[in-house]
Amino acid sequence: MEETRVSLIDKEGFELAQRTATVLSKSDLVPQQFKNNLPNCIIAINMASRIGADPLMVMQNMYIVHGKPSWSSTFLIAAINSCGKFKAPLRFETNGEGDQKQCIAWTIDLTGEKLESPAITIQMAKEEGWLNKAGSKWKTMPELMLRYRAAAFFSRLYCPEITMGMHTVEEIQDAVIIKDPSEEENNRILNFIEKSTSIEQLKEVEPHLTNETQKQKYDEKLNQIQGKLGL
Amino acid sequence: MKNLIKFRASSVYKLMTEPRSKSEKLSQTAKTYIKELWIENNYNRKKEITSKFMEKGNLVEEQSITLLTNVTGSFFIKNKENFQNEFVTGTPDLLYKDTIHDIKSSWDIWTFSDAELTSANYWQMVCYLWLTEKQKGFVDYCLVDTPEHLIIDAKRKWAWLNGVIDNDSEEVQKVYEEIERNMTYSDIDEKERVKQFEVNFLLSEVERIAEKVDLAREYYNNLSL
Repeated sequence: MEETRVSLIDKEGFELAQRTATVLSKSDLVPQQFKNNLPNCIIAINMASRIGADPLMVMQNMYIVHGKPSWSSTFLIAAINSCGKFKAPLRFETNGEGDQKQCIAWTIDLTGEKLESPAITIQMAKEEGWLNKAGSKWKTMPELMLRYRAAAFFSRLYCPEITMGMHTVEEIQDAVIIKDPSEEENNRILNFIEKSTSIEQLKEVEPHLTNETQKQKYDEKLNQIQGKLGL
Repeated sequence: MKNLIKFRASSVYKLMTEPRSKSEKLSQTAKTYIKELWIENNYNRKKEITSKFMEKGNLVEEQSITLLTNVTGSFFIKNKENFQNEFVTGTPDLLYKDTIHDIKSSWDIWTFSDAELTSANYWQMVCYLWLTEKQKGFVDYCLVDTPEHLIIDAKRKWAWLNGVIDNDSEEVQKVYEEIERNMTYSDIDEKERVKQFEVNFLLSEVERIAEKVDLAREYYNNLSL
């Protein structure tokens, strides 16, 4: 008989994921973001299934930062070491001083070739703005952060299937996410058109329409108001 | 040749502070500011003053404009045009029919609650009215959510100061939730999150600015390192 595997896209696989998630979500041993949270548990179980890891281990190493799931760096390194694609565990080579201090993560693949990550430097941390953020661990634990970041870059290049496009917690925390002001302006225009109740009010937005969607919504609303007024 | 420098509307309040004694024409605040400006213009060295308050103000400006639009039912859009006359220069946030609006995004609910028309905001608005030849302006304080990365920063700062090792512990999560609640306001009615202060154009106030600018220019043109 064929074994049922956890899946989000087939009925049996999804039912299995749901049952497993129900049990785990009630456990006191799972981290806060999974307690009584069935959807988060299902996602974690699905990820565990895809990378062949234990669901509880995935939960304990997966964090939600800025609403995005991300791996802890230690989990990422452990996953690289145990994935079977490399002959040796990940190594770290550091040299240089001050801003030029750098770290490269490397290992040997099954054909004997040495694989290296790009060099991560303190200068890079400064220029990317990772170091200057309030409470940044780059200020207090630069050696550790250099290694964590080198490992993250290594995994993205040589074993992206392990991370499945997810970043490490530290990477997401270092990233500055800024809303695009033009997006806010666009939404404001569309909402204003939607809420307008008179032609006079609607006309206020007319000089500021900048794209086809806005113009189309404007025309629709104008016709709607004129229709109501019998114009 | 004398430099007829123009002053930024946002800084005019510094010129308008009164000197301690009647024998002085410009206050110490005004002199310090003029010297900083002189160094900036002549030696390209600027005293950088940035803070989390300013960062939030810049980042959430569009959200504040949206809030004002929702609350007033009038459509506002960011003005990008710079205005200048013989004395001052400035870019008002919003031009709406016969009025000017200047948006101030409060850092948190407590600063919003204490917000009042400060001297800085008043003189800035007087300059804008002068520059645009409008009669009425509004200083609009808005309370909108803090950008997510600033909330994360606040959590990390707290965690660092308190030596947090286990981010997942219930106690830590409770503090994080409290930090987040204190920095986000979508649960509060939008109407309660806007405070407006009206400023009307007065010729006598404009004359006072022109007088101070003349004095400031004289001081500026006699400065040395």
